[in-house]
Amino acid sequence: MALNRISKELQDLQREPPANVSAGPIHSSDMYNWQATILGPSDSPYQSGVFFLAITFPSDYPFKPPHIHFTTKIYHPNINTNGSICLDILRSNWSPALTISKVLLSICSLLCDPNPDDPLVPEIARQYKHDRDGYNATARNWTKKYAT
Amino acid sequence: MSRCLPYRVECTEKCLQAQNDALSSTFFILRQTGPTAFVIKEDSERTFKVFLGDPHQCTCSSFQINREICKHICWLLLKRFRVPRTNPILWQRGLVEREINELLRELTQDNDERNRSKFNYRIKDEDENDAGRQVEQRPISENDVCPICQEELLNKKLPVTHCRRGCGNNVHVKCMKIWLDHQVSTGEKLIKCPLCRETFGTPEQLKLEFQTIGAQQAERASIHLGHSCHRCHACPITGKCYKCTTCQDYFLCQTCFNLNIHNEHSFDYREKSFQHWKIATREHLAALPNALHRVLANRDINENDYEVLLQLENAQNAAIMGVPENVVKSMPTERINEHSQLLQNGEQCRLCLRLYQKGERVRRLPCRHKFHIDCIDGWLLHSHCTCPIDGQLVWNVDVANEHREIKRPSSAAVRKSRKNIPPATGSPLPSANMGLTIVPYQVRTSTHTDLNQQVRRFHMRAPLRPLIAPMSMKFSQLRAINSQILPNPQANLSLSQDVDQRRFRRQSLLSSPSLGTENISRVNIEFNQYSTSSTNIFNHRLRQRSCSSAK
Repeated sequence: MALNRISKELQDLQREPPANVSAGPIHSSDMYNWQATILGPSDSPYQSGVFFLAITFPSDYPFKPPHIHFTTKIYHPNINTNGSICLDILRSNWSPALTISKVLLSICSLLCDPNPDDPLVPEIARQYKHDRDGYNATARNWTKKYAT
Repeated sequence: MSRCLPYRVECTEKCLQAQNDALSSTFFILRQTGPTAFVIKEDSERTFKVFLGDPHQCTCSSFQINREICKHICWLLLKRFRVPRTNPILWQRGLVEREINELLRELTQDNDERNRSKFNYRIKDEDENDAGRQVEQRPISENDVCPICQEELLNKKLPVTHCRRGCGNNVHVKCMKIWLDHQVSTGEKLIKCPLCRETFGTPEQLKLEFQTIGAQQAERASIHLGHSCHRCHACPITGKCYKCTTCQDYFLCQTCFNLNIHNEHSFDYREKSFQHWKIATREHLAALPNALHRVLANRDINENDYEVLLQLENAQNAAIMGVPENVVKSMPTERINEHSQLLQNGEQCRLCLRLYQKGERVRRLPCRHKFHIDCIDGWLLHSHCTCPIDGQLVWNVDVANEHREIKRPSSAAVRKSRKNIPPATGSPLPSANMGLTIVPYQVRTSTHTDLNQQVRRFHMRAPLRPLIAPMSMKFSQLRAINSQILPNPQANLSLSQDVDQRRFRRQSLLSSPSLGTENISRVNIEFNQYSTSSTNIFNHRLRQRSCSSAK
């Protein structure tokens, strides 16, 4: 089931690639480990950055969510230094109807609109709430430093 | 945690008045801005923001002036949170965190209970009348996929279920069952729709539905639903199902597997769809009759044999055709009434994957499978002559011809007289020479007797019988016959030309109008009764050739 579904998703991704997002297996022999890239959304401080993510599918995918984390450093209230992403659909709110392309688009929108009320890094969340300019500057800085 | 406003032991008069006002007036919740924050609207155009907390807040004038519980706060507590009028939290001016948590918890429990009772009512309702469903099943279009396995629904023809409370979207029963098991193992009590996150149903109700379908599946365990043969496109594969271990979604049926195609990869197989895959070893050409198998095993298969096989393949592929309209229309139909079994949970038309509705008409195939009239007529009239579920032949040209012959004695007489007619000199070579006879191919593996019958009928139609060399006939005699037919008897000795001739003969057989093209449409190779003699002749000729070359 898992392998079928993963290859199906790969086909769909290749047939209709979503905007600003790409994904695929690292080695064609191992379908369970993928790499994805997200282009920083243009209306965010991550603009012009290219962020890499590692995706690992569990063997009972799509009934369990895939493990996704950033391999590029990013300054974001919901993403910590290890690259772990705090996103409800990757944990408790996972649904088998979600596909990798949908999840990546959700991550894209998380970059645009951080959720400071459920932060993974409280300091950044506080800065985002009270000192938006400072947050924007640091995020732009990090994007320039690590993602270009 | 301490209250910012002191606790009241008894309800004040003003508060009681507000409660009565609240119960006698109507409000609408416009928006819920937080778990306990609401925007409500009175009958008039005015809207108020109400916040339940420590202390309560409301934007109405009476609250702003008196800082006392207003009817809006009372209404929310009484109606929205269903707090009983005896509960002391009704007359407090603020709620501490513990009380708010209690409120919210009771609210969710209450909702669950209401849902459950509604659900039970609905099940009862469904039993009586199918129209009691809340959400209609969404029509399935060509590109709709199962949200879980992402396969096209209409392509796979697996039974589906749909979200009855939320979105009405369709999901494979099989996929939903895995999701159900997964959710149950994590301790979930209510299964949510993967698409709209509405409650899909209780595990018990879903299991019941899956059982109905599971019982149907068990009957057809030897049918591999959802797998189509990559070569002959038979779907579903019946009997043994072979799977390529390297390629994704490459399946073969037994017949095609034995044709030795796709031999660059190894295969796994299983006989029943619930079994584990086992390693398959290739037996070359096991699909051919044993006698022919033995002969072919004793010599090399040359390119001419390959062509024969190719021809068979093409003929088979060309043979996919529809069933005549009058035959389709003659199959029994029935109208679904309220007592029909087709209205049970899980029953659905496996072509359009829609549930049956009262008053719809269904057609029953000989294999007892039922489908919507429109669905099955479209299927049968347009290039299929098999049941979509089990692949059983619904109608067969050969059988139809047989009936026609029985009905018309004149044609039998013609056949009899044909037996005695000596062959015309231009007619094709005897099939005995080849050791092979083309017989109409039946999709269901036919028994030996009816194969023989078909062989006989074939001979009767094509006036070949007198040409077949009897057992005792010597090679020289046969050559004499051949020389009558062929312009150059010497050419007959050349093996390659001989094979060419055979091929020519086969082609002419295939295109011979006297046979009726539909008869050769499905062809199979079968040894005829003279196979042994022809093998002898074949070997003899080989020996002769090697002798002459030695000389």
